[in-house]
This record gives sequence, structure tokens and C-alpha cells, in this order.
Amino acid sequence: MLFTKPSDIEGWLANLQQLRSTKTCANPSFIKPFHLAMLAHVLRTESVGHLTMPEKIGNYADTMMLWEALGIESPFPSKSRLAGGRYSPIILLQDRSTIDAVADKLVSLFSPVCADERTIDAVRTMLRELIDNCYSHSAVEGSLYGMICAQVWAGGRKAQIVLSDSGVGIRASLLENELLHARLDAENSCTIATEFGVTGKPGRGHSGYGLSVARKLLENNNGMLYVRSGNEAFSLLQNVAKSSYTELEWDGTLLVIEWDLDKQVDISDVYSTLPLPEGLDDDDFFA
Amino acid sequence: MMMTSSLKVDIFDIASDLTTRPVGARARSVLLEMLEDNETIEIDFHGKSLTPSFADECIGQLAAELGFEDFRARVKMLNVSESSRPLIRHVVLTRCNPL
Repeated sequence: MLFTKPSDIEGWLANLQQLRSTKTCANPSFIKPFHLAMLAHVLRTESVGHLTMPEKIGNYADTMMLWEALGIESPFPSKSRLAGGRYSPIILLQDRSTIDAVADKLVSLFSPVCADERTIDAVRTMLRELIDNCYSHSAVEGSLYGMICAQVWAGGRKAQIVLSDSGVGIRASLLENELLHARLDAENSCTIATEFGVTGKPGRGHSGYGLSVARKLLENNNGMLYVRSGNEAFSLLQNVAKSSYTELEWDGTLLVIEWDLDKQVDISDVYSTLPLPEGLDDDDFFA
Repeated sequence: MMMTSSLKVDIFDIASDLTTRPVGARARSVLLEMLEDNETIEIDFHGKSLTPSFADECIGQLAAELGFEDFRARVKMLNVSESSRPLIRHVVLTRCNPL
């Protein structure tokens, strides 16, 4: 099984743009969690009250609880909603106190197909940090901060996690930090956001760990990371990093993470690469 | 006034999770209060992994408020997971001596 390509996500974004304007669009040929998370994100902003789709992909969408995410009744009988062990249906992020439970639920998909505890710990920690960022950085006070879903392909040895937030977007968030204005005039905000120490809230305790840790983990995994906000995107596909711009806008921020289940990672390897100041190197505070 | 007492702290008695900045900030406040009454504290993390944000907010900024030498002398951390050790080293050293 091949990794999802950034162009697959961009192509679906174009389809969703068509859906917005004509109320209909073409189906993806191979449907994945990112299709449904993006669809749910768009349809929620449109306050859609009715959605139909062909049965073949509709069953999958129902399993992923698309209609529940939209707050409308599913046309499929409840008997078809057996998620099994391969899917984590769309979860609406509404309560910050549930972050660990949500991360545990997603990571439970990995356990049967990935025996390495360090890798599981790395994915769990990364997810906790990224979901928390959704609450911290979305700048939207209200009942819905974002949504998350995932799927594991045991035979294809891949896993996909999609996190979509409803916030102001990366560029607007980073513009709160005046020190970044010059860079933001010239560079892609999504790419800047994957660097260590980049944050829109430097004086308010924030340090910008989430996306930089995710990027380094995906580099070590030789996997795929796609960050989309507004008309800007950053992608990492098997250690090829690209910045891109399109005419199509995305409200908020979209993260698509695709993992190689056979490549183990250790988050301490990532932490060990974080820069340290000169002069203080004593760590005997561990008993 | 001279203090000689040492207090053992279960991190889960002062933090509902080891994930978010708000919880980390509240835990730091409690630890600072404990340090007003005790010479040293030993924080037991039960081998659980901290997120970078929690580690920075709770431990990194605690070290910054105490100062590196005071932090090293008065705060010990027990049962820190192997994966979190380089993270804690990073947040403590970075907060005590910004890059």
C-alpha cells in the first residue's frame, strides 16, 4: 500500500470546493479517513441537514460516524455501524479533559498491529500534544474545537490519523507573534509552524512543540505529514518536504498523518535533537 | 527560617493528566506552595509519559521560577519514563537559560 500523496488531499479539496458550489461532487476512488474528516469539516460550516452518498462508500462513512459528526440522522441502519478494530470513527473535540481518553482510543488501533511499546508511546504522546494544541491554539471558544479520526490498514502496514480544527488558522495564529512578521511576509506559514520553537504566543507560556515533534517523528518513521491552513500547505512524504500554495482555502487547520507500521520510532530520539543552551548540562535531578 | 523536611508528591494528586498546559500550570502552583513549607520535594511520575507542553509548563517553568541551582537542589523526580527524560532535561535547561 502506497502512502497518501499530498496531491490526493489537494484533489479532494477541489472536489469539496465543487460540493460547496454545486451541492454535489465526484467520489474518491479509494476512500480514507481524510476524505471523511475534510467532508465533515466542510459540511459542518455549511450547516448541512441532509447528505446522501453511494452505498459502497456510504457504509464506510456510516462506520466512521460521519452523519453523527454532522448532527444529522444516518440513512444507514445501526447494524452496519460495527467499527471493528480497524477504525476510529470521527470524534468531535469538545472537552479538553478527554484528551488522554481520545488519544488512548486512537492508539488502541495500533496495539494489535504494532508490538513496539516505544512506538505506541511516541504516537500517544504526539497525539496528546496535537489534540491539546487544537484546544490551545484554535482561538475559538465554543462547543466544537475540531474533530479527529483514524484507520489502520494491517495488510497495507499503514495507519492514518486526521485532525481538523476549527480555529483561526496557522497564519493568523503566528501573526500574533511580532517576531515572526518578517518571515511570514516571505515564507509559508505551515512550514514555519513545523519548526521547533515557533509559536504565536511566545510570552504566554507556549513553546511550539506540537508540529515540530510530529514532523521529526514522521521523518524518523519515513512517513507522511500534511499540514494545511488557508491557502498554504506543508507536506512531508518519505522525508521529502515541500511547501505549497493553492487558490483553494481551508478554514482552520488540517493535519493528515500517515504512519509506516513497520518502522519503529522512539520519541526520546526526537527530544534528544531539541536544542539545548550552552553551559547548563547537569541533569542529576532524576532520583 | 531553616527547613529540613522533604515531601513526597504523587503527580496524580496534583495533576489530573500529564498533557495540558492549564493542568501543568496548576500543578506548578501547588509544587511552589509545597516548596514554601518543605526544603525538598520528590515528585513521583509513575513512569508515565509527559507531553512537551505539560513538561514545559509544570517542570520547565518551575525550574525557571526557582532558578537552576535551587531547582536541582530541592526538586527530585522519581519514576520518570525513559522517553520523557530528555524532554525534561530540555525544558529545564531551556527555561533556566533561554536559547
